[in-house]
Amino acid sequence: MEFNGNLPNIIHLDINSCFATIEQQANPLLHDKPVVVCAYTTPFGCILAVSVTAKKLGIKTGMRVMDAKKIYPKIITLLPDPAKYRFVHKKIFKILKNYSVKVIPKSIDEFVFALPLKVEPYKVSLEIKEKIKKDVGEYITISIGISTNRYLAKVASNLIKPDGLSEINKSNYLDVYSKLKLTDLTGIKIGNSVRLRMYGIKTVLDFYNAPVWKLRLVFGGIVGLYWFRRVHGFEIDSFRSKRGMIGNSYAPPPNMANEASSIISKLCEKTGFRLRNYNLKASGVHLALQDRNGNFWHMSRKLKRDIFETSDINFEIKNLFKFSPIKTNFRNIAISTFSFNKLNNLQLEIFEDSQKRKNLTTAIDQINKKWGLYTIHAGSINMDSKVVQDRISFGQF
Amino acid sequence: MRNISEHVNVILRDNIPLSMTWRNRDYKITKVGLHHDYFEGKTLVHIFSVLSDDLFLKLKFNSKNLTWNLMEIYQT
Repeated sequence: MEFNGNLPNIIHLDINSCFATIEQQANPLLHDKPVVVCAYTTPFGCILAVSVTAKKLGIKTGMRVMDAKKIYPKIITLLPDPAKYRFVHKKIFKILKNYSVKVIPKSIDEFVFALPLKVEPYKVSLEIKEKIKKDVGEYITISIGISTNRYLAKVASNLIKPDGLSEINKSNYLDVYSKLKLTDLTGIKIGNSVRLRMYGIKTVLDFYNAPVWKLRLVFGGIVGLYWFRRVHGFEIDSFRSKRGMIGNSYAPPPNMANEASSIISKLCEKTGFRLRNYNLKASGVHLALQDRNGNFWHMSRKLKRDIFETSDINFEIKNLFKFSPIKTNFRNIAISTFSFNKLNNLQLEIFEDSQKRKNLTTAIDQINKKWGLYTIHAGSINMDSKVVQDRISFGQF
Repeated sequence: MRNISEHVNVILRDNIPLSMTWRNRDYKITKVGLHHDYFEGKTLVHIFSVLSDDLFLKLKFNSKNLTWNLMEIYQT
């Protein structure tokens, strides 16, 4: 199969070092300084975003603050400000909507969209870059990738960073592939590259030239065909994925590592609120716990009834918690709900009026939407305003 | 970065802060880094991240009671 000969009209846009760059935009005194945005500024705090200058020093996302300070003791550590990131995300989203009817935000800092075929993608990309600099902030840089499918557009956006603009098309794909390592491809990390090497696929060009049957063997079935089509520039990632779970997690700082009850309550409140926002009810709950010694435990339960109220989610999760061997010193607490049905279809119950409960929950949600989450909640729920701060930037609009 | 959270007076022109008075001292705003807004419940608040020469100021405007607060300062 030849490389897709269609005009490349898919654009992938990525904000460079998103959180750190936005902080630098807000505070011009931080321009060109090594800045990291971290979950906590304490030594064990995890780094969430690294400025371009800090990246050059070798500091990476996921490092601990103390490790970054070993590399550069004067590194500037900032706490995340999700409201700021959401604002920039929305502003860029609004700009992109002028160019395409269907802009898909892939995350807080990534967008993908298709341009109409008559438009020149390269020219439009330059225009978008200028518009973002003018309307959002002159320090915010973006990398844009153009190609015939979403996957290669993303790969193209990673070719030049920061402030890049690259295209992978029928005339240059061999040149681009010859300069890449297997692990430079999105979705191919050590595990997949080892698998590919086992079948004699050592370079991206080998990957491109590999027949479908071989890739089916490497990836174990249909996934091999998907990869074949991806690297040949054909679209296979445009499907809309079905939501399988809704949940929240929290990594408490050391001084809150034993406050499981409050944390679980607040996570249940957030999860319940999101569940009802999607107009869903769930018949499965899952709890995952990890302590600071590296022990991990998780358990899920399929319920005989559908639940949507925070107090019900809290009750079921607390029931799971009773089985946990980990009771203290938590590193991470994650809860989720699964197996969804539409909330409109309520089952009539003999002893309880579920419609009445739904009306009450809807009223509480409306109050919380108007006055802020956690304004009112069931008295049975242990709610402490200090635990579970707003860390999630994406998906809260 | 130092958290302050004190009431201040701000002079605006075309919705951009020109100067701020804090503890009986005037600060001329020399650059606006970012202006963003969000809802606190139903109240829209505006955050102005600005510079007064080599001093960074984070100003919060509450659109309900029309008050200004100095949230943070930062100096290199």
